[in-house]
Amino acid sequence: MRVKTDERRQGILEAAGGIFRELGFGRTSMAAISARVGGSKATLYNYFKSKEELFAAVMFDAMEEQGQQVLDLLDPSDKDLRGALERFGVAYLSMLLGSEALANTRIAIAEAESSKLGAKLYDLGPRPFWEAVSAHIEKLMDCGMLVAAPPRLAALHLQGLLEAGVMEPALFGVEPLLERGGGVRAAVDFFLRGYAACGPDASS
Amino acid sequence: MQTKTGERRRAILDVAASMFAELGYERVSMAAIAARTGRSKATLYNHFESKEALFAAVMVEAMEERGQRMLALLDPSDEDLRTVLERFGEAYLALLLRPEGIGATRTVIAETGRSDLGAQLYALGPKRFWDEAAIYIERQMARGALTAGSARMAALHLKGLLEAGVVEPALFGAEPLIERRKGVKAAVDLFLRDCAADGRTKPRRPRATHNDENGSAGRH
Repeated sequence: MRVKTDERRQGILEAAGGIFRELGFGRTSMAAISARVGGSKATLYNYFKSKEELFAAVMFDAMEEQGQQVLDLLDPSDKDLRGALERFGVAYLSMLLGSEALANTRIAIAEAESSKLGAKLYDLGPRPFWEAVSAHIEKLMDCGMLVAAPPRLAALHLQGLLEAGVMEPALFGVEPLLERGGGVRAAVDFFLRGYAACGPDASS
Repeated sequence: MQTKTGERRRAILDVAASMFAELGYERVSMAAIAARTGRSKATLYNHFESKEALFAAVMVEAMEERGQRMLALLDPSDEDLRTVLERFGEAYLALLLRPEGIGATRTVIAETGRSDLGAQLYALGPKRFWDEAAIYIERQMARGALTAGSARMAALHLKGLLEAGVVEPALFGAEPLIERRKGVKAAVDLFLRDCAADGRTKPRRPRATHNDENGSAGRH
């Protein structure tokens, strides 16, 4: 059953994404989206119960698969911890900083000023993603590759270090302060000096 | 030099600042600002060519004043680096996370697709602020309290660690992932574990026993 409707759903998401990014959340109506898709509003509501739900799907449908691929780079059996974290960092930033993803994030942040939508989106996207990273970090701590510490805190630190000098400039529409690869290497290096069990070189 | 023009400009900035904070950028019009200042729209446009320019001027002024106060906390003569950084971190987050502060940041981010407001304000705000913080870090490196390295990179890392788990959720309007004080302590702790060259600022415990009690977010 999914297969049949997937294409249609995909068409709706693409059309809606375009309109949201053009007009912002507030000025986009379900009527305008159904007009662009070329179906009735009733059909649109068959797929998405509300404009909020539709925007959440626009923001995360594409990212869900990509997010899983990024998380899969954190293979607990991988002995090359540094390499795995660097690959993860580069893939994570690429996902975050794609032009559509960035535009969607801006819309979510703008919307947080006047509704609860931003908070819902945060709970659907960034929060579970970093919880999964935290679970991975906990495994690394359990098997002694990282020192014992609160895994959620370590995950937050990794996120803060990876995004430093890149994410904020992107949101403000300016050039990053760090070249991506160099920034990720420096972030992972810093993270491992703080959290690696046998010093930063143990895993390289 | 407080000329009549200067006074008028001052009055407009004050009114605009409070209206932006109260209503948000979108809902404030130049006409409403003119009305509240008791002057014509033409006068207003003589001073500021657009609402965007007026907003930028309000923001720049606020950032400069508060930023300088914040940077003054980075006292280069105070040798207790940990305490200096913790105080700075808490004051920094308190400033950033005030409702008006978050509101203004959201406004700038929302406008980014439409104008270069974000780029203008970034250069005069976060960029300039952290460049100055890097100067402090560089001095600490020079006097041997922090391991020598790229001061700019260290400043960015400090910023990333301080903001982790609080700023992003705040922008989305979600609950923070870590209590602010604990977060700052943990951030400064990791920063000094990595960078401290001085015995006094090394971690209080050896890293192998670093555990949940030491500035934790909880293990759930």
